[in-house]
Amino acid sequence: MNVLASSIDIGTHPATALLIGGIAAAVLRGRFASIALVLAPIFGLGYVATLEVGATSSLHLFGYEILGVVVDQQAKLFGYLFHIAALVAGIYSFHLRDPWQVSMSLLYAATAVGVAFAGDMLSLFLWWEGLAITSVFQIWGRRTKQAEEAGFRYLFFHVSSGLLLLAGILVRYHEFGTDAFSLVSLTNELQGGELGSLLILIAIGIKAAFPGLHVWLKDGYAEATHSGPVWLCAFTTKCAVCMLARLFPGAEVLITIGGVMAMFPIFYAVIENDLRRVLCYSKINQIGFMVVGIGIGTDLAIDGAIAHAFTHVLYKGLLFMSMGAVLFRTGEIRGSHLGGLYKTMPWTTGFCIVGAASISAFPLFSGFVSKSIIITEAAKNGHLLVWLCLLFASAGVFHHAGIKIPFFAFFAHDSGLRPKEAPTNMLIAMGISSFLCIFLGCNPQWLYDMLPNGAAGYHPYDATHVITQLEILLFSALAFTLLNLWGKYPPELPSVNLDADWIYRKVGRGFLGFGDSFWNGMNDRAHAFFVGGLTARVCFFLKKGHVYTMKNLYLPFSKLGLLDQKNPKGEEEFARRTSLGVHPVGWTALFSMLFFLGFLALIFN
Amino acid sequence: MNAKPRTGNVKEKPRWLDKPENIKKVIRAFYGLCVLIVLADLIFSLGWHKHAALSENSSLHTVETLPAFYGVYGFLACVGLVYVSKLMRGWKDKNVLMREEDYWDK
Repeated sequence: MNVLASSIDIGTHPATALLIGGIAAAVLRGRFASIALVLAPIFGLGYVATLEVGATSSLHLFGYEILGVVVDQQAKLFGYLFHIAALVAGIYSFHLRDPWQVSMSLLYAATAVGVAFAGDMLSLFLWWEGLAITSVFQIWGRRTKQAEEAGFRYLFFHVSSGLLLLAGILVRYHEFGTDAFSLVSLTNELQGGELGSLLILIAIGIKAAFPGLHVWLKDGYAEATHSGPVWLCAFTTKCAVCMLARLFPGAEVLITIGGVMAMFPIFYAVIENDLRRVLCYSKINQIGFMVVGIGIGTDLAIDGAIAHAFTHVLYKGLLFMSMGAVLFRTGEIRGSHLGGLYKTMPWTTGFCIVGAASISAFPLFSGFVSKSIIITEAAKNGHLLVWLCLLFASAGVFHHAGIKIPFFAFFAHDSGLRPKEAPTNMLIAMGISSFLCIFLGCNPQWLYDMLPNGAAGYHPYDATHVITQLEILLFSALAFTLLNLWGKYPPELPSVNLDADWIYRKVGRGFLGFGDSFWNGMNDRAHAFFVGGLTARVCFFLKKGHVYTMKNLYLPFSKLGLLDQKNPKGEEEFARRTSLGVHPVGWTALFSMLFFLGFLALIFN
Repeated sequence: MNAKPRTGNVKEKPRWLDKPENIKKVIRAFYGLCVLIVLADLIFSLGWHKHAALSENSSLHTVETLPAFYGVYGFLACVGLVYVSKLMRGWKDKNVLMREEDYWDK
């Protein structure tokens, strides 16, 4: 093996350029920080290109050898991808003047590169936690109350993911010792019902937005800044896909999970009003395709999943960029309040349509050359039901992401909004992404050559593929057109839709309310009884008790005429003296004797 | 965030797409495209060997190789999708999953 670096030489980690860029962007201000934002990914990209497959770099820490970097074909491909995504998103965010957002976005990209190149479980865990912490600033950067709350919910999911990963690693370490740290396929262990690998699968599943664990995505991204989702959509879920392909290739459960992921979000996407949230749902749908590919587990299917991750980052980033530009210029992202923007934002409209064509997998656009591998492999390996689901999902994604997004934002009814065209830096970023989408769609060999198995023996452009795919797409567009003309298409309504987040945002709140009233109620009662009631009485007794006792002892003597009758205030005078504890000697002696006699009587009766 | 964008200008020239007859033209062209692709599928299925995605022993093999299977499936899928989604919004005037916008803040 070609040793890249000695144990202390960390300067050659592939994420170094982005890390330094991130720190520089935190120190620098204004345009200089933005320049770091663009330069860092370019240097990083150049460095990744020089890495040789098979190189490693390790670090000795606390008696363990941590394999910080292992370069293989898959890691290299994700390395390229993350740097390209960071570069495009960096150009898109060039106008940003928020140091937290700018520096954290580069550090976020760096952690993603770290995950892609991680050589063992320990380094994976460290980068994995970094992903969670650095990414949340893209949500908090919006500086609204909703964004702050959504950020905390997002963080809750991702920190849980990190802890589950750690738990899984430790369970496996307990069982297998240091062998558990190696980053090899856990498919057999998972199918043998081993707890550690199940925990690791759930940890990755949270980041991959498995059904039920997906709500952070549509919740967090929709509340992020206008440029936030461009960063967010590139890294977190793709790191999860990268790790799934490494750790669980061929795990059958993934085929089912992926099928569900490809199906259910499209129903939500049709009725969702927030257009960025529509993109979030279509993102889950697209990750579903990748998860199915990894679950099928053949060389070609995994190649398909990785290729799809690559093209997906480009076109989903492009779609989020166009919606971000709309949000930036109009301050509005709800479909019910948009429309007719093509008149003043023609470039953004054009780029959005390129993204829409790519996600819908039109021939000559990037989605086609990757998605069709997965669908073909599902059919070839006899997963009939999943194949039908994926076809349904292909039609559905065109329906909601391919048509609905550009149609309701830029065409449909005229909203009367006449915003300016997007800023130049945004247009350049969208232009680069559009170019790459079309370039990879027309030259799939460039992408296939980078894949771990080279997509051997797959040719996307044969007549059957092209004709059947165009048929599916055109007829789903026909359904959209006819339903719209007949007024049967659900209109965009200002609304929110319940999802799995209802469980913790409403039922959870109910549980909190119950806990609040039960435990705090108990606390209040105990407080009222002990502090308000009992203690007050004891205090009162200690303060006044002896006065009353003495008064009661005084009265019989007074009535019998044994005491001084001339003083009309005798009783009050006596009470005052008792409370102060001063009595004439005679009185004191008398009472002492009475108490003494009382005691004697009690003891010797 | 930018200042509020200016709204529709009265003097604005109507665009090509603003005229209903042009929209009709676009839609008609689109129908033509649909017919063309079905024709292509038909000619291709009859004249050349169209290789199937599913293997010969699969139960859907014959259905899949029928001309226009993908078109019909795509169309039905989308119609089904829209109707199921509408059911998810509400059923018989009752909301199922749809809530007012400030629902979470309540």
